[in-house]
Amino acid sequence: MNQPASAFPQVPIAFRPHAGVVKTPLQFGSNAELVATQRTDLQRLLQGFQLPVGDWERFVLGAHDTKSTVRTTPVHPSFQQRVFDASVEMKVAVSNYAMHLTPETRAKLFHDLDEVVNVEDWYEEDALPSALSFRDFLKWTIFSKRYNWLSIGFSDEGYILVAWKSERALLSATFRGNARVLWTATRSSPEGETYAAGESTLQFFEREARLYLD
Amino acid sequence: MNGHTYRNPPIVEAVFEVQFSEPLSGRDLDRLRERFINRYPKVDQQYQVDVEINPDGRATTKAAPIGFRMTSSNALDTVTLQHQRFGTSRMAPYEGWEKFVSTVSANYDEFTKIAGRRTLTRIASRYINRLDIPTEELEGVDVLQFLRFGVAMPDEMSKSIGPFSVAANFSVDEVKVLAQCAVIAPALLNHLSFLFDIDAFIDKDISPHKDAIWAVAERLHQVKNHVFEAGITDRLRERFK
Repeated sequence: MNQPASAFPQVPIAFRPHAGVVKTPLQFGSNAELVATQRTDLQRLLQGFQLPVGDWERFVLGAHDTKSTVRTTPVHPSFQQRVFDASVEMKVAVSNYAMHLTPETRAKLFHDLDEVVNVEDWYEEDALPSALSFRDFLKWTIFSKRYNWLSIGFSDEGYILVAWKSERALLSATFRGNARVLWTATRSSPEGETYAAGESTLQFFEREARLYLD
Repeated sequence: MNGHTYRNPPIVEAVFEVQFSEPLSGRDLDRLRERFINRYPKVDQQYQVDVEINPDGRATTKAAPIGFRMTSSNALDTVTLQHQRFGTSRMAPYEGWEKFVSTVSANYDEFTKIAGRRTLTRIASRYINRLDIPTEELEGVDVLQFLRFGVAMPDEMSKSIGPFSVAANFSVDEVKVLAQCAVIAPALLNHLSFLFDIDAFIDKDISPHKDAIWAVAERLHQVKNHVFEAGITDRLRERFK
């Protein structure tokens, strides 16, 4: 029993996620400079609000136009709370990939995060973990199907550090959140140890990892 | 209109929300926050941000606090408390309707202990699905092989389609539905990701009785399942089993 469209109230779809696929209108003939100015102003005016990456691209309004959106910001930005929030943010990222992970892998991730991202082991001057870096690690893990990492940690810059071990090699990687990985490998052989290092895309790093871990 | 059972459902977030006509006071919101703080210890303040573009092209904003979003320690469950809405969400992994509605019901009971029974103006069940499909399976293949809800385009215009988004309002058995489908940033390497967001709701003739609310919830759930199953193909369905 369908109803005519007029039976529905206006829905605020302008800020719904689907608007995000409309990319920056920099095509020929657009008012790109105006849009860029608006976004710069918004970033200045909204300092202190946590906005998801890429959210700015959704703010495209015409002159005399008003839009509303809802934004969140932590209530208690104490050091303890910030570390706790960072841990929760990593777990939200795990949740986003839950359908591609087994319960055992999710439990391992949660366990390792609790071990590493906690107020006892974190220093106030350290950068908090980067969610982008952690998401790259999750993407790579699902892509490579390597769920047997030895340990995880975070660099001073907040990038996730991961180590894997095989019978003959130790491989470590820094996921930098830009779809690239810095890696080092140590391979043992009767002739002695050999060392290698590189920086590559996530896909290429999967091929490199096979050389050391399979 | 029963749904299938999936081992790996593509639901990234399930939300159940009620809206009410009489707004909560700031004191009510603070009390509710204290009521939920043990189960949902991460507290974020929510602001409504109004953005206005002036004739000279410059933007001005106004931000006003409207409530809280509170998250559990495992980051999988949240409650949203606002002046005129109360919601419970579950992130992936989704563990089934029975478990979700049991949490929703328990939270609503806690809510009414502080806020009382209010005249409800909207009850909604929203499921946000993310469908990750390997690019090699999509190459040269009509997206309709996977999704039946999307954009139709004549062959004379083009035989392939890039990023798109579509939002449609319709009703199923007197339940209103806002369904949205879009290509979004890929969640996985070598995959394309599609958003399939289904918001089933009623916004009139809502009985305040508790049993009636859960009867409505059941209807919304069935409609949501119906829309989801009608919107995807067996080929896509196989990926969640």
